[in-house]
Amino acid sequence: MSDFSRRLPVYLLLDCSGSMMGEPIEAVKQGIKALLSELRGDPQALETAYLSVITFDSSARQVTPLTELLQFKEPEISAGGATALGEALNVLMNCVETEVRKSTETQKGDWRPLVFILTDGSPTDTETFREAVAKVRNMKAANIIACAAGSNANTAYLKQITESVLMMNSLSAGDMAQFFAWVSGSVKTSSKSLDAKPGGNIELPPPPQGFVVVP
Amino acid sequence: MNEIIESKTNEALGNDELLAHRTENPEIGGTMPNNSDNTEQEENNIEAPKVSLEKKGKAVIESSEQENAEAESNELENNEHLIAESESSCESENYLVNSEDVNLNESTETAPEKIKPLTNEEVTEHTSALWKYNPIPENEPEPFPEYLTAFKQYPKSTVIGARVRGKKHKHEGTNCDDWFETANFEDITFIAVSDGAGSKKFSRIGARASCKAAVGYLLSAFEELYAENSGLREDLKLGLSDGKCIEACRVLAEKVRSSVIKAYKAVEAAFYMRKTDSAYEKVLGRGLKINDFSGTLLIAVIIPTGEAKENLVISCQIGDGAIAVLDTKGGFENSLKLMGVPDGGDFSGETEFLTSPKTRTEEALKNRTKIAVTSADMLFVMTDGVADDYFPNETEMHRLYLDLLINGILGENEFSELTQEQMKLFKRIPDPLVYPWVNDKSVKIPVQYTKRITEALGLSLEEIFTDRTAAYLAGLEIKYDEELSQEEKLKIWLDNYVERGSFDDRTLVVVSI
Repeated sequence: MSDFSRRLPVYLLLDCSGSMMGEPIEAVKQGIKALLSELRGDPQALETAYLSVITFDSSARQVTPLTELLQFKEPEISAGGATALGEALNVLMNCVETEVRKSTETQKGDWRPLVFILTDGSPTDTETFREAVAKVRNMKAANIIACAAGSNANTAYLKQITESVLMMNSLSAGDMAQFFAWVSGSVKTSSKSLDAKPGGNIELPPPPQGFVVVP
Repeated sequence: MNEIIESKTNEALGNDELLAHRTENPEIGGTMPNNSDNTEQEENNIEAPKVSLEKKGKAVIESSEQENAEAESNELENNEHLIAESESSCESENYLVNSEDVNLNESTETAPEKIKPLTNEEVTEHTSALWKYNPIPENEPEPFPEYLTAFKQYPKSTVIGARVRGKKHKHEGTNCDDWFETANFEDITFIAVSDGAGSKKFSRIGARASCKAAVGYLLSAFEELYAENSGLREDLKLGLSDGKCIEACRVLAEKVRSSVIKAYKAVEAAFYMRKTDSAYEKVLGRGLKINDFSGTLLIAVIIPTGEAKENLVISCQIGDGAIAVLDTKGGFENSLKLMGVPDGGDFSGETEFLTSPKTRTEEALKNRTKIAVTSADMLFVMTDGVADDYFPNETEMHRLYLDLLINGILGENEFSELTQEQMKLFKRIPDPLVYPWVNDKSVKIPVQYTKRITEALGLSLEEIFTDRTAAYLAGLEIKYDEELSQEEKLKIWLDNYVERGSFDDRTLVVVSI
């Protein structure tokens, strides 16, 4: 008998490059706070969802390992540097590989991870990015949603990672708050529709007003 | 008990997997689609279950402690708030991240921050106050009853069954998707259980239609078969080394497979009947599709062979959930046999449904039909809402049986006086867990868990199954109102046992044979 219950791993990949400095990065911090507060009021999310944060600037690192919602502490993040999105994808793949439990004879594996990428630019590590994208697409082990924030974000790169790409108009605190509210809505929906067939596309709530789904 | 049959008989049988002894091949008997609905299931209103608990002398739980409960939930809300707003207040986070405090106090900054993971119990204790109860919506077509229970005393078997709406559906105020039916023809018992797809709003309609049709068909088909073929009973007595008996098994298995097809036809008919009804369209925001009625289907037929305590069990399973036979009287080894393979993919939660064409091919149905001649005295049929909590089913079904025993649903705990030894053991058994009932937070229902006992006493599942003293002792602490029926107890238990991440509808049918 295993004492593990199946988890819904949620990874946030957050752009902390120089262009995020000031109001945007503060809005991201607020967003994480709001996300946590929202999810902690939802018993289904509390029993299933686990959260991890990966940040990227000139390099990438997992700042919070996959953690129980009740124990999650908001990471200290700050902005500065380039946009190593490629490296962030490599970090993500490594984390999924080591943290997400697979089904075995005696244990049911975790649910398919949910990954949210937030970026306001284009990857600066293009070579790494290209290689990472090929692997991420191959992996198929996660539902990835990418959000391009503001006018400098390049959706074409994000489209290479996943079909699900959203665009938000600005890096304003208001838009950022809406994004994180939508993320928490998506996590809640996912933790509710866990009996839906994995592999297929999960149904996420409609994006907030002012957000565009990139075709 | 169950022996695996050799491959040659297997071939003779078609592809049916013979879990026991033999078979072979002729014809299909007549089919008689007559959807009679024989089972009387009761619709229960929500009433606070009456459970009381006496723990080592002191009476602990009765029912309402409304004020306390309210105070508690307020406290929780405050906590929520504090966690979200402030990092610094140790008090508010205390019971959530207490280990961290310890770390900080003891070893200052040098020690790397290592958070001790919360136990599942700590998490479910926290969430128990957050689950809301919302009634079944009245404005949607065909609301299903909150509970289903059944108790049947058949000539050679006793069936108790219950189905409860999962916490998820209660929280969201949506319908339960599970259904079950039971019936008998003379000494033969029929069970059908279905779990409507969680992603489909009206899957419950398919679940009910398929169960009723399958059981109804089996009833008339068996009646006809036995009328036409008076030698059938005698043939079954011959044992699986005899060709006639194998043939009889084959004919019966064929009927079970046909019942699956009939079940599908009934789902189809249910769909066509409602297809043009705007009430469904209004809820869905689009036209009704056959897939809206997707569900699993688990069928079990128990046929006494005529030999003492021996039964022929034929099952067919489409989708997840479990059918298992258990010999509670014999040893641990070989006492359990799963009578179906749930369709689980690499990812959690994958399942097949009756509405998927590939599950209904002759080939697929043969693979899904299991036949066993068994001396087991118990058969379980359940949806994944229960089966998932006893994973892997191949080894954990004993725990299900013990949980039913400990919580007073099966068997009697007859200890008039405890020996000193037993008293010692009794004292080491942890108290039952008591959570507020999701329907009414002022009602607290104690539930005991085999795994807590095995953990506390350092016993393996085999040990506690073989010598059930500890289980019986633990059962002393769970007391129900005298007049509560077995199926009512089963219902209360299904409604109240807590597993982290388990909030699906739960259906369990237990047949004592």
